[in-house]
Amino acid sequence: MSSMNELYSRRATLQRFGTGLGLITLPDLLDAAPNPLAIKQSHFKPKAKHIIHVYLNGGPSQVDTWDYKPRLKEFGGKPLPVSHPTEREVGVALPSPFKFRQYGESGIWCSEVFQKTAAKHADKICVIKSMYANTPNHEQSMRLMNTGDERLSRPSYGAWLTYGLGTENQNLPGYVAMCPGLPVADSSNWRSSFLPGIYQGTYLDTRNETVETLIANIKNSRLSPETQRQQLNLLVKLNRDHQLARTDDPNLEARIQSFELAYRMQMEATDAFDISRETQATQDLYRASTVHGRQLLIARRLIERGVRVVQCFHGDVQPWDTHGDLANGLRNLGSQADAPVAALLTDLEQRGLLNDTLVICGGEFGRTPATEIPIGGGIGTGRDHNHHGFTVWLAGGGVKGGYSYGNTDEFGYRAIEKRTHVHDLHATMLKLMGIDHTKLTYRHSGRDFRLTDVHGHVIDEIIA
Amino acid sequence: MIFRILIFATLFGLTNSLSAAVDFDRDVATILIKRCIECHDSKQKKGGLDLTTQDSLKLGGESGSVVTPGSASTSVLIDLIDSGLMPPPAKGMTQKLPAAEIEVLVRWINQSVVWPAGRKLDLYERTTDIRGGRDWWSFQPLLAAEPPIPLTDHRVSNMVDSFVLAKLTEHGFTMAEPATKQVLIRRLYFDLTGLPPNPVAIDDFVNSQEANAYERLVDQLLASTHFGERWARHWLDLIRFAETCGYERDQLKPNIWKYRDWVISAFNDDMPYDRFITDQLAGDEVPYRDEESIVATGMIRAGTWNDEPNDPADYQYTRLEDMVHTTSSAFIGLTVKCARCHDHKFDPIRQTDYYKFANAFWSGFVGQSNLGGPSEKELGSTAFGWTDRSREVAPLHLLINGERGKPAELVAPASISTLPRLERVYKTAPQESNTTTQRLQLAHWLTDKEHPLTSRVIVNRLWQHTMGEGIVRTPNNFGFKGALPTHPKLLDYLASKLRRDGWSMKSIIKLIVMSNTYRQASVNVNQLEYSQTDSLNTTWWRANRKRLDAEQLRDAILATSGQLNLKLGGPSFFPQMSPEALEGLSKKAGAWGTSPLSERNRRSIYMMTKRSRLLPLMTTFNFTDTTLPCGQRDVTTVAPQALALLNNQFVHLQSAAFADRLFTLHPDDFDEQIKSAWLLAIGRPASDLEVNASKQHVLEQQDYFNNTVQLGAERTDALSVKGGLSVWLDATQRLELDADKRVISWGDSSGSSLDGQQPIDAVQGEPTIRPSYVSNGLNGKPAIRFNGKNQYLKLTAPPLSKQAFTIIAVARDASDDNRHHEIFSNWNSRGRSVNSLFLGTTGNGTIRLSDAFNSAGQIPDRNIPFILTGFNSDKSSNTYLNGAELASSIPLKGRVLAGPYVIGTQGNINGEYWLGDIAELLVYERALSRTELNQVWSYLSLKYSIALKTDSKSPRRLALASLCHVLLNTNEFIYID
Repeated sequence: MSSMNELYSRRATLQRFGTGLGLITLPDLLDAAPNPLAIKQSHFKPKAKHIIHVYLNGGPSQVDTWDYKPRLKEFGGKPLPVSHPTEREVGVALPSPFKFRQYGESGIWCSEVFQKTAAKHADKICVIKSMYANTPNHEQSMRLMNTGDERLSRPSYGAWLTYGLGTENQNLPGYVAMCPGLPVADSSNWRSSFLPGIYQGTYLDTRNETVETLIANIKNSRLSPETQRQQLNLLVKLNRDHQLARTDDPNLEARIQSFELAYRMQMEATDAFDISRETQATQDLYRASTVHGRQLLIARRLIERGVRVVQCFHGDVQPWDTHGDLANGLRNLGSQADAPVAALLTDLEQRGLLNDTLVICGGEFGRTPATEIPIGGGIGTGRDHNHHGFTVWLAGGGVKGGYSYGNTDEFGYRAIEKRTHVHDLHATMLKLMGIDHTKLTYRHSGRDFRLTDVHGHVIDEIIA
Repeated sequence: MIFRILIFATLFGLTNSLSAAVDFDRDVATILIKRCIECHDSKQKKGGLDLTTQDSLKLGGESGSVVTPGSASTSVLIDLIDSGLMPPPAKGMTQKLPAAEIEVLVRWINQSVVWPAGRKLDLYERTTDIRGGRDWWSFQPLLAAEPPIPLTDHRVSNMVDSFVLAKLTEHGFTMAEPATKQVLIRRLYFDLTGLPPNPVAIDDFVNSQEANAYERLVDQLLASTHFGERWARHWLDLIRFAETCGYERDQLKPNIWKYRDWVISAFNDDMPYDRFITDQLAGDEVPYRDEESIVATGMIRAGTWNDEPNDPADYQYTRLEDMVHTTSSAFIGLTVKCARCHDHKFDPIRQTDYYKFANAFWSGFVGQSNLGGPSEKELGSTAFGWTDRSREVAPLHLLINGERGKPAELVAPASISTLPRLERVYKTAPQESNTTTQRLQLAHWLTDKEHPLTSRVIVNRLWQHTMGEGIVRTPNNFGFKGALPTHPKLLDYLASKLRRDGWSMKSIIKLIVMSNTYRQASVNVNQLEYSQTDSLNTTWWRANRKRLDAEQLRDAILATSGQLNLKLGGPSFFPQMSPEALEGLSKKAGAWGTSPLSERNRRSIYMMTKRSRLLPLMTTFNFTDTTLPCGQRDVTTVAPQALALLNNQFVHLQSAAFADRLFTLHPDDFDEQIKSAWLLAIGRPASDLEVNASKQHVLEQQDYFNNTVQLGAERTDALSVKGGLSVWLDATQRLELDADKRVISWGDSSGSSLDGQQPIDAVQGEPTIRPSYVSNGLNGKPAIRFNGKNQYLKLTAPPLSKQAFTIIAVARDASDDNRHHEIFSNWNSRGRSVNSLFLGTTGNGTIRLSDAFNSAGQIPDRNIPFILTGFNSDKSSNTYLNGAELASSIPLKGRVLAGPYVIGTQGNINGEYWLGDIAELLVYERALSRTELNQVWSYLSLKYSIALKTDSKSPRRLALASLCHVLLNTNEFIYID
């Protein structure tokens, strides 16, 4: 786990060579810098090698999906005996308008919103019902879920993982974030922050459908790969020489590496992102004509090629933010997400990829079991943000299938049993990927930083 | 109770200070303010308890008395605190007070609850460790400070250095060595003008022996018109400027480019900052109101605007929030908008303050039609500006939770309570006023000479955009959640100086860039040591290395390639977008009207900022978001940026143009081409090793292109393309001259007569206005020379009958004025003043191909012979100079093609005469193919020794372009030391 030391020992290497271009030949110059994306030794034997994070941004309602609370019906239209401060004012209990039933041998409860996923895969899924976060605001909670810190400028967990583990395919970014548009908190969700820039998530706007539009400038209209390599050889030579007198600037190294990665991407990206190379049956399974299906199918193609972390944000801004008209809104969102998610799990399993791939599905927080009182009064038809208790489920990648972990109170308001903070989820994700979250550190501004800061407990109970 | 006794015992044991006297203000008030009165104040009074005054404390809460003087152990207050019930747990975490604080309260009660008479606690009266109070540093008056290190010290160039060195010395650091002159001039050019220095400027500066050479350079750049173009961009980011509304329709905001030009001029003219603020806020209310000041109010409505919001009445408040947020963060670095729904959580900004502030805009045309502002008629101007609906202040109520359905008390326009020393209620407008004057009064408050924020915030920005980071590193937040100033005294010094110098921003910028702090190198020999404790360089032990931002990068590429069009001001240009980037552009948003080539090569600040369709090249390099105020852009380093620079068509074109530029500079000298490439791109001479590596690259690439590139037309000495040729005037043949060698007739060589038509000759019957024949007129070849006063020729018949045409002229323009000069024309004052066809030049060699295509590129040096082509097909109209495209536009349509046609003047007016030579003129009645064009140009090129730019397709040029491309991609190009 001394990747940075290795990287920066290159400075010493360069300094050993002295200055001047004539002294070393090109291959030496390239080799002198260890590839920062090369595979690195993990702390333990990993259960999972890849992560696909299906991010339902906006805060999906736990009590309308995986956290069945029959007692809400009893209190329908009446004030709940419990209440916790959230973003806005809430009113009476809002029973879920969706039908629930148990699925699989494990008997995991799920509503019709995710019925396809549950029907096919309940016994592969580990539902954590006792998640909690710190703040009922999207921006802070998005950053918490993705970077472990509500404040700005912390590296995302995807950046930490590619920093810690490298990636298996040197021709693709180690970490890809897809979204049709931008989620709340924009690029801070996949930022590398003080980690070297090469670990930043490569963002793709999936409103674009073709490879050429998805990854702009992927083709060079003038040069063959060989002549472009000549260009890059000269470029790296000039950049290395420039770097000799400026050895302590990580941005210069990051930019050198970004050109190398860009060059390599040209070889492989057109193939990796081209879902038309899938059979019609597979495309149909994912509903690849929809943006959600397309994203998940691309995600599978990427992890199949060795990409370490792929995040698929459901939509622009915060589509799961159902403050009003929950009954229709959530049904509609479910109809977009359910079938592709079920397809992803089916497909991963069929290809033998599910054992290696940790699939995560959830948002930045959940929603209140009580109605939100609409602006200007009236009867609430939606739910407010709720960071006190929410659900995230995991599948594959070494987690117990058909397993339900933790509980909220009888109304689904607040996690009370086996409370699981976002830091705990991160610690567990890292463990599954073979990393001790207390030991993956990076020295910045005079102190060692880690994804979980001083927090986080691994939930060993959910690891198979 | 046993538990509590235990605690007390512990406390006693720990502190052994049970008897020490409590100081109310120092010890108790701090705890109550920080921990209790957010809920237990006179307004909220949770549980009926108000802890802000002695009397209210005595009254207790709903369950009675909370303190028993002299007996903490029986006081409910202590019981609640000690048990962790108060303050209540938050976010699932206990908020129980630390033992030391409980101990203070215990002592306080045991010592009979001292409370100074009349003392009322206020949540915001002082800063605690969870919230800023009115004693927060940025709300205090500016402090004058003596230079901590005397100005006579040899390390000190001015006051800036004195403060910076004092801090460096505290840390045991020393400044880096001064930057080399080469580094310094590049840094200064980019910081002040956003453009790279050209080799001549570098040479002058580097070799100057004058002691004040640097200061002269600073003055020169501050006086440059490009200074405003650079610094206006920083301001446009702050006020979330774009030229369209955003959302589904994304309509154009007409004339808002005038606001952009106003900002540029304001920076160029060094408009005093107080006036700069006042005009933008209240240009319609100032006594000197004029068109310019009204243009300035465009700031208020430059944000997004939704013409179909879910709830239009609610949307008015969204618009209002945008205005409050933009102005409060831009002018005073405060997040006033956070107080829309509740008192600010972290800064002493009450909810009422939000509404006091918002009042300034509420009487305007908030959320109206007309793209969210007054119509031209209501404004009394065609500017895209702002004004009030009348002089009556529109009532604005505080909204509970910020919700429209829950109005509370009416809030009168006033300043915010954050700064009590400056607090004022705004007056009603005089009877004769058309507006409320609330914005004007807001501007007066902001520019009050005692205002502690306005000047601090702007000088911090000036520092940030020269040094790379602010003194306060959160430039839009000077509140509790913002960063503290790294050099508070320096900040105050600069802020005071700004006021003393008549709010001159240039004076502050000059002070900064004249400092040794600014002029130090970006590497320090001790950096390994220093970065251990100050890796962020907060003490300025070196200069920050800066990556060019999106505009600087694009402008620098164009400047280097020689293609940058430095035209100032005016409507924005539309960059060329790839079909991929335009995909999905809704019809509602209208077609993307790409501008002519010369316009497209203007500086980036003049690029159309259409919110739904920002140029990918710009956004890839962290262009501002345009929907929210942006005080500091992100700087990322990702593979898509590398892909853009490796493969984007723009970069290919500029690399080719750069190579052409090198060939023009040094046609036959490979070594000089390489050396110039380095000087132009990197701003320093290349080392021998670099020259060799570069040459080796070109030769390698040339091998590749030798094997792959198909050359265009073969060189030929005869004109082979004759289909559709209706007029061919060639000064080597078919001339009839008078005794003074003046042209009676210049005969058509097209051979049209062969297919039954009459030849179309150019004739002049009147001897005094005949142009002359010169045998060695144009590069040694015969040509017809026109005197620019009255000489011209008439065509004997119209040569064109269809809209498609190709006109090719070999000529030299000897004029040096800015007037029109025509080669070929059928202009006629009777009915064809706008729809005729002509080809000619105007100011600075700008080409005109009819009035519909009147800025059709530019001839860089019109006195040198050229081959000029005007072309029109059903797909496009184009102009070409020496075989290279100058400009393209939509097809010309509806040209009236009837005669008479003339050569050397403008139709039937007595004017616009050609001055110079015309050696050959070919007029085709059709659009030639690219191959045919190449063949004609090749023939003319050989005949007149005019180098064709199509030669840029030769292997050597392509190889050189590849080197140019590499240089534009280097770290040394994009990172400024």
